[in-house]
Amino acid sequence: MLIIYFRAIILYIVIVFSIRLMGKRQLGELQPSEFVVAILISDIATLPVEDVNIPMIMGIVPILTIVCLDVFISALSLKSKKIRKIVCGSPKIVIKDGIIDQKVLKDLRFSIDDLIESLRAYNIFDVSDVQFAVVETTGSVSVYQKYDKQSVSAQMLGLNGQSKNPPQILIDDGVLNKQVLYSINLDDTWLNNILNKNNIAIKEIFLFTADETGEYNMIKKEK
Amino acid sequence: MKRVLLCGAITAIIIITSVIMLISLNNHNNALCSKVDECVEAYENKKSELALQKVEELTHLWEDYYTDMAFVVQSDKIHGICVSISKLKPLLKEQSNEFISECESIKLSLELIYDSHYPYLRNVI
Repeated sequence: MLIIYFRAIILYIVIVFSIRLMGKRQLGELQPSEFVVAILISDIATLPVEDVNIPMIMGIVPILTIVCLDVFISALSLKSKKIRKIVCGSPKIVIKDGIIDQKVLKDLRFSIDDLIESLRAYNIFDVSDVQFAVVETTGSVSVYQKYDKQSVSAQMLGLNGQSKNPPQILIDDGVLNKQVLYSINLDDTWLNNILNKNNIAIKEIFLFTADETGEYNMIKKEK
Repeated sequence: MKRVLLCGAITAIIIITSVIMLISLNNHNNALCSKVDECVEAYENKKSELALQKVEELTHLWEDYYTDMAFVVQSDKIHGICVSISKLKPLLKEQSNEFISECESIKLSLELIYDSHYPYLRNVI
């Protein structure tokens, strides 16, 4: 029993390390090679935990080997387009000028229901509204709507304005993040002034966000 | 690039450790096999005292092997040899002919363990 307990802990650490080694890409939508890695790791990891007769190393070595291979292939894919195409495949255009490319759809083994479902996720209910739709290598569908169906943007209306960065979290559950404070060109004096004005201490704040212009939003902790 | 280097280092460690493990397994096997041969030779020459001493030495050698190799060899494969070694002393005291067959069984099991870890094509595929 204790053996399994310790093995589970070690394998957990090894798998977390392995996933971190693969990078953030692994945590989002999976490429085919990453999907294979995820399946293999989850299967291999259970073997030494289930069977005490199998040495721990027999689980750790294949996990690390697979992860290393994945990192090598990813690195090669970055350098060579051919390798990237072999490993990840390439995006396919399924709708052009509102017309579905049935041959591509058939090649991808994508049903019309799958396609329409993906369009509905973009709030599109009519295929003719689509200028361009691409099935990405991860299997997701990216859609570009026809001009007259696109949401109105400031540029379309000819409105001029400056882009600004979104507000940052300065105080999270009573803890101040000074690094973020300085990164948005604000300082302790500015923060202290606001705290004094509101007669509140940092530890009493649940959430405090601010942007570079000094606009802030403060939520007090509930007692 | 850091990740690639780290993975390169991990791969190198895995390969080096595997080779060292294989060499160590081979050395341990050779030592055990030669000790088994010494036991058989002493038994066949009717030198019971010497044979008993050799069996004692074999048992100690086996304990070292067990400690070192338990990390890499499946325990059910090792347990078979454990049983054979534990039988040697009683069989020697009884002067049973099974003593030699148990010794042969130990050697064969050791060879099989090494064979199952060597990257022959048949093992890989």
